[in-house]
This record gives sequence, structure tokens and C-alpha cells, in this order.
Amino acid sequence: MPEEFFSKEVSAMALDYLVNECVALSVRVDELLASDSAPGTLAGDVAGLNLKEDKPGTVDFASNPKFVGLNNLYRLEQYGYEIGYKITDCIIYKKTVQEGVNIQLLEVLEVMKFICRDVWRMFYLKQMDNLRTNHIGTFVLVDNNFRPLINVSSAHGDADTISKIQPYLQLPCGLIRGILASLGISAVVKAEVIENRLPAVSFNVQTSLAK
Amino acid sequence: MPIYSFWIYDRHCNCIFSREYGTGIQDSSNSILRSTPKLKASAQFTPNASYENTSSLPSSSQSTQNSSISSGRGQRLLSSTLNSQKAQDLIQKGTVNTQNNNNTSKLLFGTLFSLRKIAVSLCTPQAETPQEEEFNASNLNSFNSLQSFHTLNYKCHYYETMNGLRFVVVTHPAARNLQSSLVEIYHSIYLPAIVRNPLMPVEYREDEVISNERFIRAIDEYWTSLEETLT
Repeated sequence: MPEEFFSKEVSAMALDYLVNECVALSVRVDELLASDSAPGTLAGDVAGLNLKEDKPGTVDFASNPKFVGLNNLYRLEQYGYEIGYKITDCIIYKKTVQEGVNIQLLEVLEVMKFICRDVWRMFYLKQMDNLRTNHIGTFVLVDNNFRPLINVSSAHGDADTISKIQPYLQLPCGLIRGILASLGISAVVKAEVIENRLPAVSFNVQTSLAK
Repeated sequence: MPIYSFWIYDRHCNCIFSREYGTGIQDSSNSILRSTPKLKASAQFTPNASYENTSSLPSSSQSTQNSSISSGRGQRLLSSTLNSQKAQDLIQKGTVNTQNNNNTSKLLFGTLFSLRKIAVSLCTPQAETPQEEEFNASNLNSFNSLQSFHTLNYKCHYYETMNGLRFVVVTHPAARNLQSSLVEIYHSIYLPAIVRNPLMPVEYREDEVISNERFIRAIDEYWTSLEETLT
């Protein structure tokens, strides 16, 4: 695998915008699927991807009821799942071959540490701050300064911000689930903001492996 | 140097944020930026008319200026708790986004807009080549040539970004040039809190304003952190 696969030459800001745009796109896709207009020509599809009065630069998609709808949340989680499922190999390659670290991913706890340390550092430029477990398959991963949420705040106060935050947490949830799945662990991942203290986020991972 | 008000205009010339600060004893001079009946009447004339109008306000402005200077000296000796008390006053007695569409806001914008045009056209040298002519007509030339203007009882600091966003702060006339503060607000408050915030728009409809609490708090904190705004 060529070196440049891991070269750090993507602007973090550009990537942030791209990821955030996934959320908006997902709402528009949802709206298009729900509308009666049968998808046909490419031009029709593209035109259909606009919400009503959806001007560029505005955040109308966030006030759409479909924004926090289950379809939207599931679709975003699926994006993350796909990315996580595929990227595990790359990260393991990077650790073992490029950096020469012999990592053991036999136990669930080891896998969780791998996610907290290596995966998080790769995606969010920092490690998780805390990892807790009850030793029967439930893990709580805490990031006290979750990068994508640092600047998020809605125009209508904190309560509104918290209610609109969930779509942005689905992608990392799916990411964790995807990585676990590719390592043979099936799990359910839920994320929530800790006590309304943005940008502190906890990821609750419920694995099916009782240990 | 008390700070009176702070404004942001977008590139469609709408006022997307206005913040007026309560200034206690400065109320009489502050009123020039409230929509007094006098200003409303003058609004029917050209912006320049009202501009002269405010600058030649009666002698009351002179006395406020004096009182602010003498009180300024005394306050330098006050402890920081008193300063924070003053900061609280400044914030709580003010208003947020109540003036975006009134005549004061429009006059302020009109004045700055025309002043900028005049300033650019006065200082542009005769173009000799087509390239120079193109440059003179382009945005690059007119970019930010106006920094501030002041009258007897207020000073207006102005900063315009490349894409037409305009930051304006109105202060006491003796204030130093605060344009660097406006630049700092642009890149350390506006950029993270609005542009990099996925839940805030960067394009505002008419009558839509920045009502983000975090943004307002950051702006207030910034202005009250400048020592001179409290003295």
C-alpha cells in the first residue's frame, strides 16, 4: 500500500465541511424519496434534491422534521458503518506494517482500546478521554472535546442544539459499529451528549459478547 | 472609551446583527444612535443630511464628553470587581438585535457605504493602462479603504471583508482605532461560531438575524475584555 494513503494532506476544515454536508444531503435524499416525483432523469433527480426554499448557505434542512427522523439517522449511521467496516484493514496495516507495532485484537477490551487510541486519533486527531466497562460486554467511551461538535450551536438556544445534535453523532456511532463488525464483534452503539455539556460526548457500546 | 454599539451587515446590505450597549451616564450621547424622532425626521433626507445633523448636536454633547473624561480618570483606580460590575451593566442594559431594521441601522449603513465610495473615488489615480483601469474598478481596489470616521460625539470604526461582510463598531470619539478588533472578531468569533458551525447559516434572509446565544456571549466578552470600554 503506497505511503500517500496515510499522508496528512487533506485540509481538516474541508473534510469537516464534507462530513457535515453528508447530513444535509441525507435529509434531502429523504425528502426526495418521500416525495411523489418519480426519479427518472438525472436532471430531475438533481432538481429534486433541493428542499423547498432551500437557498445555498442556509440551514433550512435542520428545521425539517426529517432531520431527526429515523430514516435520516439510520442512513447516516450506515455511512459510518460502511466507512468503519472498510477502514479497519487500513488502520491495522498502518499500525503493524508501517509503524511496526504488534497489536493484539483478540479481546474485546483490546479492540476498544484500539478504537479509543488509534481510530480516534486518525479520524478526530485526538484520543478518547476515558474508557469504562462493566466487564459483561458494555463499554462507555468518553470524549470530552469531540471535534465535530466544538463549534456546533443552534440559533435557538442550548436545548434546541441538543435536540439537533443527534444526526451529527450517528456517523461516529456507525464508525465504531463498523470497525467492531469487521473484527467480528456485533454491537449496538449509542451516543449522547454528556449532561448537556457540549462538546463532551459519550458512546455507549453494547456488545453481544459476554465475557 | 465607552463602546456604544456593534453592527454586522451582510453582503446583501442587511443588518444581520446589532448590539447596543448600555452606557449608564453616557445615555445622552448614546441617544444619537437610538432612533430618536429627530433622526427619524432626518431620515427622509439623504444620509449626509443626518450625518451633519448628528455631528452638530447641541452643546450637551460637549458636556458629556467632559464628564466621561473626568470619570474615566477616577475609574482607572477602581478594583477589578467594580470593572466586572460595569461590564455586567454594559451587557445587561444593552439590547440585542432590536435595531436591525430601523432607520439608525439603515442610516449608518448608508453613510458608510457612501463614504467608502467617495473615499475610493478620491484617491484613485488616473488609469493609464487597461489593466489599471480594471483594477481601479474592481473590488480589490475599493477593499477596505475606509477605516473610520468620527464626529464630535461618536466614532465609527469599519471593517469590510473581501466577500462584502461589514463589521461596524460605534464608540466614544476619543477611542483609538479599533479596526484590528473588528478583524479579530471576524476571525476569532464569527468564523468559528457561525461559518464553522453546521447549525448556523452563512446566508441570511431579510429579517433573519444572528440570534445565536454563544455568539452573542462571545461578542460581549470580547468587548468587555477591552479595558478601555469600561473606563
